[in-house]
Amino acid sequence: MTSAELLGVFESHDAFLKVIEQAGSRKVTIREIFSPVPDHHAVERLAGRKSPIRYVTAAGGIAGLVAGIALALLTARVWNLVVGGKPVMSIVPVVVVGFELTILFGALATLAGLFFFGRLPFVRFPVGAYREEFSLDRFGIWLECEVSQREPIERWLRESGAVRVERIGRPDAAEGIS
Amino acid sequence: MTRDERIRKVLASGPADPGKGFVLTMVLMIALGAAGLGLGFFAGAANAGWTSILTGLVLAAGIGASGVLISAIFTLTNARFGRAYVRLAESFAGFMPVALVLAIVFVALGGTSLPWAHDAGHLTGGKAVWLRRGFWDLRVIGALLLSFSVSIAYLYYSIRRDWAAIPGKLRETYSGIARAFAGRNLDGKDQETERMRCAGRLDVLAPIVAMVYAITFTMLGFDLIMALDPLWYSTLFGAWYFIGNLFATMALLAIVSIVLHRPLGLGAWITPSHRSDLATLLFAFCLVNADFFWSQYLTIWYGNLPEETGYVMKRTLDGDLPWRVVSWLSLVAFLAFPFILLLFRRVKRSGFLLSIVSIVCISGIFMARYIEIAPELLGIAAPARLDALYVPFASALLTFIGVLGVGLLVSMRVLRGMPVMPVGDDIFHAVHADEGDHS
Repeated sequence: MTSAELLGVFESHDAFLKVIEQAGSRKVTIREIFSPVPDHHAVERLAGRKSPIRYVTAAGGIAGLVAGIALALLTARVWNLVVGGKPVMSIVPVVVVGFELTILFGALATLAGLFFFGRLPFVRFPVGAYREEFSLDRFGIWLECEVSQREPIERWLRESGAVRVERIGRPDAAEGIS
Repeated sequence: MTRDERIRKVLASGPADPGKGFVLTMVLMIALGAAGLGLGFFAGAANAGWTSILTGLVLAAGIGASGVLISAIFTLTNARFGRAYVRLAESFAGFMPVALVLAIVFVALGGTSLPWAHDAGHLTGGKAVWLRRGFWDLRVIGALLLSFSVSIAYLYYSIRRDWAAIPGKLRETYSGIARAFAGRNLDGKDQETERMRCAGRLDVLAPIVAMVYAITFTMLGFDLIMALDPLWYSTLFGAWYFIGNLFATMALLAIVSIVLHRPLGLGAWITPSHRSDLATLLFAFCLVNADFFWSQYLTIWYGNLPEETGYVMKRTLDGDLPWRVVSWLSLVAFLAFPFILLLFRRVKRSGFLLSIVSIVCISGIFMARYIEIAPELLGIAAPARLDALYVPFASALLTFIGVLGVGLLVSMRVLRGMPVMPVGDDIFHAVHADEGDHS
């Protein structure tokens, strides 16, 4: 698929939120949003797109559980520490180690996933579509769509309240500023 | 929306009215409770009725004190999402009189059912002094009164802070015990000064409520439950009991906030996001409860001392006794089921699904308390099959349902005398100013 990238610049917060809401039905992908202040309304509207981090967390947690239980059981087996006449390989005491490593590995995996999917750190900041006004008083939405859909999407952005629409990352970007 | 507009919006729907459907359901639950009690006393095994009353008592006392404790925890932690739940949690103080009545009835009439009361001769040393009826009675009633008094003091300042934030005319539409108790003598005073004074007192009282709760309910756990088998002991038992109360109360809070969402007009203040936060907290308490359970079990398992392991084996392994089914069901209900389901965001945001999970959590805690109390009071001897437990268990379950019915009815009466949201709380206003007020 040949894709095109567009940047919608908004003065109105309501218009900005409305475009985020409607983006799914327009078959466009939101690459990034820009806001001068932390905006949980926008984040909530984006939340419909489920984060892949949960899979990383689950994988980390399961790996931690297995590692913790294996560590405790194998250590006991190698060293044969008999305590209170209990069997060397018992499930009761290893639950604690398994639980602790589930939390530890789950948390570390989440952190790693956060960095990876959040594209942190921003070594190339500002990204291509960033404009200084997004740190002042404007909101921005960086969209990706099929090239054939570019003009209807541009029209939709303007009709939705965008004060400016730019074409991003293409040789014709400059002439596309409207 | 300004602060004044928000206060008027909270008060616009008038005093809390849960609706006829809710009241009828509670009346039906009370009827079931009465039937259960009758079943226990007249058709069950010996002491089945007192087992039901004691189980109802330990749960009602726990819910009554934990409701106010949850509010104190939200104050201590400056919890933002929790502000919308503060008043509902505080209304569970309605369980306190229910618990007190049950305690007085049990101490006055049911004390003879205590296993150690008949056979105190074999107790020696400090235990013989500790488990003496007069001393025991005094401790039980005293601990309840102490815990409830501190909770009510906290409740007083919490409600009064809100009444002090409300203009005089708007207060007039409210009546009821909480209004008369905490909203009096405000006319002619500098209301803002009074509001700030009350907020300051709450900051001081919140940690005191938490500490008094931990101490008194540890003692109550020892005296009301653990002492039923006077030879068995676990220093963790008190903590295991009081954390279970908090867990069950959190689950009840989730249910009440979902069921009364529309009748109490909570939609403007409690969003699916807040519900998800409460469910996450419920999940956390599920883990803490399991942590206390496991810490106690692990210690007994490692120690492998006959006087400790007998208590656990009787309830979980002995095939000649009917208890193990209830024990394992309890473990599934308070740990496995909520642990798995509360991992899912959809469950946490759905009122229906969260209600189901919460009901299972409360059932799990009920069964945990039952399995700690019933084997000692009922004295079912081996060999006995599961059917020996049908009537006593049904009696205790129905009685607990009745206790919930009475407690929630009284709670709703308490709620009628105060605004359903903490309108005198600065954080409540800050949260809604930040999040934007919902329609």
